[in-house]
Amino acid sequence: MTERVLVGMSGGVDSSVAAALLVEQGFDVVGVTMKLWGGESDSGCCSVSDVDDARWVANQLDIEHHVFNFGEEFNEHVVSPFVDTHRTGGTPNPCIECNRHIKFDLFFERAAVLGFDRIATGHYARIATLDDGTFRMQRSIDPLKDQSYVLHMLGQDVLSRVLLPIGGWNKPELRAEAERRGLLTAGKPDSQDVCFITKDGGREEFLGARGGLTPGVIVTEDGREVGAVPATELVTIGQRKGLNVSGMSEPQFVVDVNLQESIVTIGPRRSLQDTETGFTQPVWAHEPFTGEAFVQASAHGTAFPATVELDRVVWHNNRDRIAPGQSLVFYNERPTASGTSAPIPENNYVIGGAIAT
Amino acid sequence: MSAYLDHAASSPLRPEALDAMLPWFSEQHANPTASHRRGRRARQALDEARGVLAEATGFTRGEVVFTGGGTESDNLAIGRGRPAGTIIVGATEHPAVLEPAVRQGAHVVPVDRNGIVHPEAVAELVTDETQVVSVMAVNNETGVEQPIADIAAAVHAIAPEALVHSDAVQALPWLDLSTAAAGVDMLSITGHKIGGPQGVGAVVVRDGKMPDPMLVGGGQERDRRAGTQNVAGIIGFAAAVQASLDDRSERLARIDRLATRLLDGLTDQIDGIHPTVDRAARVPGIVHICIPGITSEPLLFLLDEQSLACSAASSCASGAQGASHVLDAMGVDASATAPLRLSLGWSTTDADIDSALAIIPPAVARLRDGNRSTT
Repeated sequence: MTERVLVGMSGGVDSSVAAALLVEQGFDVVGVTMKLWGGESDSGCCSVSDVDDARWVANQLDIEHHVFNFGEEFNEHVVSPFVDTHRTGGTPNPCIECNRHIKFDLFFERAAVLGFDRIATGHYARIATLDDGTFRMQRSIDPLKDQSYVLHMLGQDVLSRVLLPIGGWNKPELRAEAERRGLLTAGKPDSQDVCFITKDGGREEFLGARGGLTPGVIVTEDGREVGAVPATELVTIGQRKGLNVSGMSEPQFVVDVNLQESIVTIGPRRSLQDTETGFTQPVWAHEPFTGEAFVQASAHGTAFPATVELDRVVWHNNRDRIAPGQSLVFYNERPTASGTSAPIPENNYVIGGAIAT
Repeated sequence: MSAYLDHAASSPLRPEALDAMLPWFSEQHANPTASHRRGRRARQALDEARGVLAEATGFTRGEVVFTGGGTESDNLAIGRGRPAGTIIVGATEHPAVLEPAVRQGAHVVPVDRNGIVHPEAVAELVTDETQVVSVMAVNNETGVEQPIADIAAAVHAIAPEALVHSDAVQALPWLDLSTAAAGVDMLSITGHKIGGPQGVGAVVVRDGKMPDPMLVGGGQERDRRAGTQNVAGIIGFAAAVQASLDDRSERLARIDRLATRLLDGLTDQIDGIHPTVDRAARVPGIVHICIPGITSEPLLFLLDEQSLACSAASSCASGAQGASHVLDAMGVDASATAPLRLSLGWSTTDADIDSALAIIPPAVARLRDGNRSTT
C-alpha cells in the first residue's frame, strides 16, 4: 500500500519543494502548516499570508492541506524557555527546542495518531542508514544550509519515520527547481533568525516586554569599570560587538557574565579560551557515546576535534568559551571548512548532542 | 459515506433560491435605481423581497435594509463613535458584534452555565446613557436561545430610547422572530444560514432608529446603505426565507427528530460525551457536544477524511482551530475535551445521521487509543 506522509509546509520555498518531491515519488501526501506564533514577526512566519501560501502550493500539487494550531505548546516549550534561559544568563537556541518539542514530537505523534506512516519536513539534512540498520542524522550536501545541528536530537524511532526530501539539494538548485515547477513560493526570501523576534525590536524589545532586563556594568579582568550595558541578560560570552569600550590595547571579548551582580567582564581573546566545556541533558542518535568526535557549538559554526566524556567535552585545542545554553552537537567526522561550497564527506553524521553548562 | 453537518456555518442553497435567482443573472440585469422599465422590474423585485423579510421578522417592509451579510448588519447596528460604557453586549456574542462593541469600551454581560444572558443582568448595567444593547437571538456555537424579548422589555423599561439589537443570523431558520424578538429595535439576518446565497444579508430597524450609515454616496436603501444592491442575491435570500416559512413546522419536527437521533446515538457509542447545553435551551438544529479525552483539531482531521463536514469551536483566519470565547464565558473547561458542533438544516436526512453515527465514534476511539499509547 502507498505510504502516507504528512509534510510540514511553512509556506516557504524549501517545504514547498519537499512536498512536490514527495508527491512525485508516489507517496500519499497531505500538507500541514503548524500555527506556532501569533505575535509580531518579520518573516511573517505563521501569519495568515504564510498559511495562504502553503495552501496555494498544496493546491498546485493537488494535495489536501490542514492547519494545526500548536500555539500554546510553542509558547510553553519554546518561547517561555527562551525567556527563562535568557533571564538566567544562558543563550538558548529556540529552533532546537521547537524541533525537539514541536515538529519532531507533537507533530510526529499527531501524524502517527492520524494514521500516517511518516512525516516529512523541508530541512536541509539527510538521514543515513548504517550497515547495522540504524539511522543517523547526516549533513546536507549544502554546507551553507546544513541543518543537522538543529535536528541533532532525533532518536531512532523518529529517524526511522522521517523523510527529508531536500537534504540532497543545494539552495540555488532548489530555488531553480521551484521556479521550474511554477511553485508560488519559488521567489520567497529565506526566513532569518528566530521566527518570533522582529529585526527592528530584536531580543531586547522581546525580552524587555516579558519582564525586566537589568542594566549592568562592564569591567576588565582586573576589576576596572570601563562601560555599561543596557541589559545584562542579553550579553553573551564571546561577544565582541556592541560593548562600546575604547582605549583598549587589543580586541576585547565578553569572558564572563555575572547576572546576580549585573557585571560583565571583558578580556582579550586568550582569556576567553577554555580547555573543556561541561554539558547536561545529553541525547544520542543511537547509543550513549564517549570518545573522539568533532563538536559543533552553533548552527553554522565549525566542528572542532574533542573528546566527549560523560559530562563534558575536552577540546583537543583550546577554543573560545561557549555560552551556557548553547547546544553542543557531536559529529563523527570533520566537515569541510564552514562557509565553503566544497562537498561534505558523505558519511558525516550526528552521534549525539547536549546543552553546554 | 459522507455527511454535511455544518449548516450553522453555511447551509446549502435551497432549490427555490437557485430557481428564483437564475433569471437575475441573465436577462434581468438592470440596476434597480434605473428609471427604465427593466430597472423598475428590479426595484419591484427588491421590494417584494423586502416584504418576505418583513413578514419573517415582524417588521414592516420599509424597515428592511439590505446589506452584504451578517457581519455588516452587526457592525452597522453597533455603530461607531459611541462613548465608553454606552454599549452593552452579551459575553457570547459573535465577533461581528463583540469586536466593534469592545473596541468602543462596551460593558460585557456574563452568561450562565447554559450560555444564557439574563435580563436582570443586563438591566443592572443599563443607565440613561445607554445607547445600544446587543444580545444574539441564538448562539452560533451552542444553539442556545436568548430571551431577547424579555431583555428588550427590561432595557426599555429603564432606557426607552436605547436601541436593542439582536444578531438573529442563527435564529432565522428556527424561530418566529415576530414573537421571539418582540420589542427589539434592530435585527441582523443573513442569507446563507437559511439556504440562500452568501454575501447578502439585512438589518431590519424600527423606523427612525437607524444608526449612522457606514456606506454613503448613492442614496440606495433610503440613505441607510449606499451601493447598488445585490439583486440576484437578495431575491435568492428572500426565496430561501419564504421556503423556510412555508415548511417551518414540518422542518422543525423533522430536524428535532434527526438531531435527537444523532445525540442519542453518539451518547450510546461514546463514553463520557455530554451535550454542552440542555435540549430545552437550544434550537433543534445545533447539536454541541464535548468529548473528553481528545482535542478537536485531530478529530476534525479524521472526520474530514471521511467526508463528514462539521465544526469545532471557531476557526481563525488562518484556518487554525482556536479556543472558544463562548465556552470560556460559559465556564466550560474545554482544555481536555473536544468541543464539536454538528449543525443540521433543511437538507439534512437520516442518511446524514447514519453516516455521522458510523464515522464519529470510531474516530473518537482511534484518537483515544492513540493518546493512551503515546502519553
